[in-house]
Amino acid sequence: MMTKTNTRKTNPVKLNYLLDVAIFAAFLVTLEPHATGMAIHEWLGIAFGAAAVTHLLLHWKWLVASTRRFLGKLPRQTRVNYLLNALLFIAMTIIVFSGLMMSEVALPALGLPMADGMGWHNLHAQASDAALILLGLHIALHWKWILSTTKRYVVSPILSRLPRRRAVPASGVAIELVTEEVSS
Amino acid sequence: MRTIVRILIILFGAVLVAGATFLLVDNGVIGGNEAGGRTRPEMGQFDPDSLAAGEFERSESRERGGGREEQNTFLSAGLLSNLGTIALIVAAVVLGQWLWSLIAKRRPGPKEAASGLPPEKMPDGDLT
Repeated sequence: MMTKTNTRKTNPVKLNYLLDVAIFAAFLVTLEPHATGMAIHEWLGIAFGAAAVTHLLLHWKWLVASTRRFLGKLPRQTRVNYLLNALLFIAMTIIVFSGLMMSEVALPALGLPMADGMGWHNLHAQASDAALILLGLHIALHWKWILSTTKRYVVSPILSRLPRRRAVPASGVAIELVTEEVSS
Repeated sequence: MRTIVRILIILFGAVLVAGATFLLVDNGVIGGNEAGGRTRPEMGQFDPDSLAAGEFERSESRERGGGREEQNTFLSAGLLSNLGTIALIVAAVVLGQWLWSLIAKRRPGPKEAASGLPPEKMPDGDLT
């Protein structure tokens, strides 16, 4: 007799989308340290770095293909996208690194000393401002994908769970409310 | 194994950027008091003529701690401000792309231009 195993294959697009939404939310919250407090700001920033690495791993094929073809034939939009992503990577690395260098909570908690100096503060703030603009451009270049994926994984499931009005034939009373559960 | 190698490559890239940043900051090229040729104002002062002054004031306000009551207001105001910035950029780029696609559709291709025929997707009587 065969035993059934409940292995569900993860949808890569859905996983990508969920991770991107989480990264975006984390970035916005991390930009406000006075609201969250320094401890949350620092630990969330470190987690953000790990999430960014995961984001790059999920787009590894595109990254390798674009890097190989960068000096050869490549559509203009892909080239712009690649350069923008490279700048975003640099900005994010500077943010995380400068944040670690002047860490007041996270690194001292691990027993590591923090570097002092206004330079790191200035760089951290300037890189954050630059990253905000770069992130806006990054989102703009992927806007169509974001819209279609949001429609597919957020809007459509919500709409499918809403009660639908169905007209009943003449012999019926009038209108019947039917809730349809659509399993995706 | 393959994933670990990929992670190491990404981390190597990050270390390169971090190393370069460290050297530049250590030598006072970036992040110093005169980063990018802009001087940092004294604490509590605001120089309206300097773009950097606005940045520094904003940056300092980010670092400043606030009371519990003020935190939610700060968070919502800061989030809205940052979301607004991103929304503006997205709107500008998407609008620009849409306008560019309209112009590209109206512009005749090399073949059409040579033969004198209008492009396939050009609307009738809307050439002026």
